[in-house]
Amino acid sequence: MAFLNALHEMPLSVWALQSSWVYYSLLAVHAIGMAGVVGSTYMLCLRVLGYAQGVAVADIGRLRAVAWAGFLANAISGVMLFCCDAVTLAFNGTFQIKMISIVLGGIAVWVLWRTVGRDPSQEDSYFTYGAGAKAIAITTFAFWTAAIIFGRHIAYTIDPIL
Amino acid sequence: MNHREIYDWIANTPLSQYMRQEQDVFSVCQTIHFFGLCLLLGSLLVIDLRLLGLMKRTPVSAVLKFVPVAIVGFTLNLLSGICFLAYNAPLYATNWMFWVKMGLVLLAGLNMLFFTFVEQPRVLNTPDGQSFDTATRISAVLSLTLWVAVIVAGRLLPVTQGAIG
Repeated sequence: MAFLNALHEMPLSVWALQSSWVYYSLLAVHAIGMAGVVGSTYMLCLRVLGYAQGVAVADIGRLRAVAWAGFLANAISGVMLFCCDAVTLAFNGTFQIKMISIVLGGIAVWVLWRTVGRDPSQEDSYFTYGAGAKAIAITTFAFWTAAIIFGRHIAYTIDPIL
Repeated sequence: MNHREIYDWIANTPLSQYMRQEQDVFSVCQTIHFFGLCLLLGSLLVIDLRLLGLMKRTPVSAVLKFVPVAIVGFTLNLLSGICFLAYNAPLYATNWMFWVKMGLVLLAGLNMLFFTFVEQPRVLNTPDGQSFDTATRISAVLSLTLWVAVIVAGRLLPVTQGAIG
């Protein structure tokens, strides 16, 4: 508890909360990062599910750099946003479910790549994936959608801080 | 019709009355707006990065299969956006950031039309493995930049309306 309070009183949190421009700019970065992570993951899932045949999964794999950049941006902006309201968020069920969804989404997308990733030179861009791969793709899609739903809902479970 | 009459007309529509009656629907629309954004940006990432010369294993004609995903994402956001406006039109119409966002959406839309009607036929005729001309690549960069700017303007709406969002 003392630790959470200390986070809230850090110069960084005080700085982020001094102006709504700073705070909402952090939220803007968080939304762009989301588009990078979830957007590219959605496209991989759609392709594995049989949409857009002819698009090589190895080529969608190039988007992993975008996804990682988005993830990094969101880890940084997310930690800063958390510090702004650490005491409330740490015990907020909606926030906790969002975090769990992200961890599970991360594991799911890792498993998905283990399943569908192969040597790019061997890849057939019209390949149809089996039921197992499709089930993992649906799971991945669902976890990241849950992260959006619960993430967006946090604002409705706490008092506005700005 | 002056501003007041337009606001009154919107407030009297069944959609507006519904949005104000069912407060939870607003938050559902916001979630849909974020989901649609991911579909739109995700599909444009695949398409635009291919036009910029990445992912050469995939022919452009295949990559363009993601266009309907972009259209679905945009449509979800258009519909949920109309719900926001119906909920409280004056709140948005008096916020200059909202008009910046709409201006950016318009520019992104014009860029999309330019690509579809001017560039796309040329792109599809370009032999495999060859780079696209400068206009196509500028259009691809503009597409990604403008939509990211739309997200920023949208997320900053509460700052200039002086209310929470």
